[in-house]
Amino acid sequence: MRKFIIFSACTLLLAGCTAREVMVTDIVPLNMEIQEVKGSKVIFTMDPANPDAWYTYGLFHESTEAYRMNDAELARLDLKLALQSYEIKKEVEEGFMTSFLDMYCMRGSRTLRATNLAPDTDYRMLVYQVNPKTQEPMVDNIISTTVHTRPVEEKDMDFTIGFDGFLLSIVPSDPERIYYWDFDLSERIYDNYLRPRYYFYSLLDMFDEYNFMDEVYSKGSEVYDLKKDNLIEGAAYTLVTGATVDEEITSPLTLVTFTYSASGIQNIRQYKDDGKEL
Amino acid sequence: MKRLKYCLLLCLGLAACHHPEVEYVDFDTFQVLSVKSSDFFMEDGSLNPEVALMGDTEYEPGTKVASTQAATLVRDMLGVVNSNKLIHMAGTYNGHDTDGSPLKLSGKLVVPAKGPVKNLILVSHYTIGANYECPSETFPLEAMLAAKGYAVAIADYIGFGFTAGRIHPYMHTESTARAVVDFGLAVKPYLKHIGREPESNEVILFGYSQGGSTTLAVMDMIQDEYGQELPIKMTYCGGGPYDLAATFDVSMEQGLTGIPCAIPMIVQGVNEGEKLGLNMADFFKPYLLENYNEWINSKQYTVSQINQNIGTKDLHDIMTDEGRNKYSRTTAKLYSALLQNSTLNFIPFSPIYMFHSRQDQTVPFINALKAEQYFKGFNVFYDFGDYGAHAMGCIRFVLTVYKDLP
Repeated sequence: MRKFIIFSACTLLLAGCTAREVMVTDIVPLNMEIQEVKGSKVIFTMDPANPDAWYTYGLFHESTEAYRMNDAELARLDLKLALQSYEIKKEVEEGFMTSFLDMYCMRGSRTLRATNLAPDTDYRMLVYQVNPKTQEPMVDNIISTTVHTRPVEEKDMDFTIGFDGFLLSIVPSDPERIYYWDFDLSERIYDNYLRPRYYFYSLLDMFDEYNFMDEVYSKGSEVYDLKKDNLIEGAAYTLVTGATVDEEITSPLTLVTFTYSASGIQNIRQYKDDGKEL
Repeated sequence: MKRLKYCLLLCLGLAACHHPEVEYVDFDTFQVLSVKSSDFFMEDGSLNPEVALMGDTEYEPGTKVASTQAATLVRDMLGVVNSNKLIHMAGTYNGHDTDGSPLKLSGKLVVPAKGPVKNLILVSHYTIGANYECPSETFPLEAMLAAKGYAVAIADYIGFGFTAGRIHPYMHTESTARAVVDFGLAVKPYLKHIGREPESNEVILFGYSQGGSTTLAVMDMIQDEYGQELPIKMTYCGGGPYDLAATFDVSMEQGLTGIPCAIPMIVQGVNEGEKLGLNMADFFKPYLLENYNEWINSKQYTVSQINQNIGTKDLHDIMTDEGRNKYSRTTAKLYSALLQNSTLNFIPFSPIYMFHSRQDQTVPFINALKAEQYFKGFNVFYDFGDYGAHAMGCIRFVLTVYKDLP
């Protein structure tokens, strides 16, 4: 009997913990504050009065029709498109288990970063509460604002990239300008980031988020031993490099693809991110 | 002669304590030295006392370890098992060193004694300190999953089991994940050889704490390199330090760590794995510098014992000023490596179940929030709740997965 009581108590405790889902449907002050607007990103904080209230956000480019819609209409469209995308994912992905709210909405205090924005551009920014029961926007609780991303001056900078055995050398045309470089599996860059530019942005954004850019950028020529990394035999890699200022890209990107082999680096191709061969 | 007999008996007795019911094999050559099995539950329904549970990871002077409570939880909350008798196979396989060169490693494979095997589960184990706690030497709690009809493979990371004399590259994601993947590749043909090939080719990934983070790295590695050999059905990860840099920042801001032994383990582990060439004197206060080699690398002490030896969770008492400053010349190298060893850097192509207790002081909840932020828009089910301290979270996580598995 005693064992049964302990079993029941533990089961209830476990069930109580896993089934905790509060459905907040009353209007909750969302308390959004923009912390910083940069050339390619907006950093803002959310501190809703009730941590269980669901909310989401969207940024809309000045050239789009959405930019000119009214708040309620835009929030409805935004969430409708998200819901459609969710339904498609659910249909095509085997073992799909994420809820719509978990996939597209947020709860609690957060620092959020809207990235991959175009510099010197107006964006309409919408933050709104979501009704978890109907999965529709709560149109009486929308924060709407316009942000203008900072201009970023882009100037030419060339890089001479070579391989001596497994030693990679990078020589920038301007030894005084700072730049950043990194490489990854080509397949991963295109699968995860679509374009090398977004991959590069994501790296700069990571260092920005951790306030660590000053420790990792390069200046002047660099030599790097590829043997330090456990590269995969026969795999293709893409190296991306470009000048940076304040974690923004300030030159056209130079790309180098190569195949790693224990006998040496092969299939080297160097080009700009507009596809122009070098 | 008589003395020798005593010695032999004593050795056998000790071996029996540390090697319960294990079959020793070479997974690459299929050479079997002995066959043994053990029950998960005893005849009276209680948990086999040989099952190793995660001890308390947090340093709180005067508190008792959570394993007693944990054993009660497991015993009282488990339902029916498909096969109570489990066959243990511990042995060696061909793995890789931190630089990618070949290295013989060890691990444990557990299968139900009879009945079909549904899938292979690759387990990445949690942080341990003593070698006698490593998977190949114990009856790990995760073996519970085998009782539901699965083959469970748990690799010893470099620095444990067959390579106990080596420094463990703690939190070096590439080598720890590689050990798990290599073991998965080794046990698949072995399972076929012994007639226990899983019904499905798909593998399930599982790990908590260090193992939670490693599991994501395993997922990433398999997606990149072994999608054909080890197609992933599902990934279960819990309580993982997915974002080491964020964990570093939070700990430094608070001036405290929930798991003091992790400090020397991470610094020397990442240094070893990434070949950073760091000088430990730049990071550790003198008393830690004098003792860390004995406490960590002798592999004689458990996590709890190392925490007791360190005796404080105040980072000012453990680390030098330079070591706590991520902008100092030496720590910047470490911090940069921590950023590179984050496991939030890939797109998952199969579902993930992610678990974290909000009260976790060992692996701060910020890791779960960072993961949620990173995986927004992907097929990830988040189970974040008030599930108590880290070790209790481990038990709940294992039980939840046990119940979730068909």
